[in-house]
Amino acid sequence: MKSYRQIVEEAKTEIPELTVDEVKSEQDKDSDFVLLDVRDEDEYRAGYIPNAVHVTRGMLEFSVENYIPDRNQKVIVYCAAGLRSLLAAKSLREMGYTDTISLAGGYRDWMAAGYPTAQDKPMSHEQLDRYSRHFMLTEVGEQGQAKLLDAKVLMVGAGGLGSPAGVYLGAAGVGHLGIIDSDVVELSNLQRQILHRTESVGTPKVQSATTTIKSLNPDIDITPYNLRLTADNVEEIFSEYDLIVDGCDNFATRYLVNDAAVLMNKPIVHGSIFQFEGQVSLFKPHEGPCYRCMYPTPPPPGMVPS
Amino acid sequence: MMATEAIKYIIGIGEPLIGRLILYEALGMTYREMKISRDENCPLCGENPVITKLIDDYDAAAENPDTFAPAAD
Ligand SMILES: [Zn+2]
Repeated sequence: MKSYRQIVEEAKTEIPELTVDEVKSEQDKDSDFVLLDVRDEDEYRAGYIPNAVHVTRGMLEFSVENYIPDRNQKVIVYCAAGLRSLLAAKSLREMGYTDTISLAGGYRDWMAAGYPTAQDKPMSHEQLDRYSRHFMLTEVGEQGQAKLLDAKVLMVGAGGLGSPAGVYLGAAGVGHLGIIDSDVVELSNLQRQILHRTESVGTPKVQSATTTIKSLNPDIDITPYNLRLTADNVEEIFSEYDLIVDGCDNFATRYLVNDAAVLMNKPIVHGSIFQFEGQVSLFKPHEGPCYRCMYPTPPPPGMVPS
Repeated sequence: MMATEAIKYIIGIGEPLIGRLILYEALGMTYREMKISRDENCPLCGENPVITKLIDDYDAAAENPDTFAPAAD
């Protein structure tokens, strides 16, 4: 049987170590490596080395591939003081990672050297509870939830497509949602537009959507725009958002959204539905096609994308 | 599906639908995936775009496809 000390000594003979000064200078040189934080959630929450990927030691074998798919990627592992990271780096070698290094002295020495640290916005008890199912998904975790809470998403349209999107985005905790629509709720909308309620018939859709999403999740900010998107207002509105969710119901708006998004370099989640058929894609300007790559001009009048 | 795609994009996980169009048909309950690629002649995002700013009136343009892209100079 091996003692803890023997295991550590053995790992030291196999795993190279770097000091915090060495890692800092690698970082300053922009060298190609991934910094992997294997500490527990509460240690990570208190602060981490900027740009680190966080996978707890306990989840390491289970989920590291999701973060570091390339087995030849150089990985510098750190923990609080440099022991767990040594063992983690050794486990990674056993998994086939070829270039793993342990940070000697760990986060403790990093802090002592006065190097920069980062901290995610602390989540309230309510947030930790509300989003706890996201934390169980290793691909999301607290880091992913923090990104969602920081995200600014604009929904164009609060109708048939915007409704399910808005409900899910709001519930998932997308921190800032903008909603544009100039329509009022009609009784015939309610069979599919689940953002709206019978008592909202006759009121602006953006108002009804805001009320519904807020009651699902009071944790997020919603900006309603009770107006029609036009060439005159689109740039000012789009400039506030990172991502556009296009669930509009007419070709004029669809082309306007597409043109403005390409010109302003904003990605669009594109959706359309007609009777029993639906489409979805992601248009990322200059990385993939845009709507005009598929349809340079609209079809003859009378057809509705809805 | 739109929300899932948005969430994946924000968090930076999974395979984004860039260059792929998912077609869903409810009666047959089928999903199909279609490759879609950038058109180098796209009037907007192609090599030599003719649309370099927004057109004035999208409503009018949607009624009359001929006016939808400004003529190339
Ligand atoms: Zn294009």
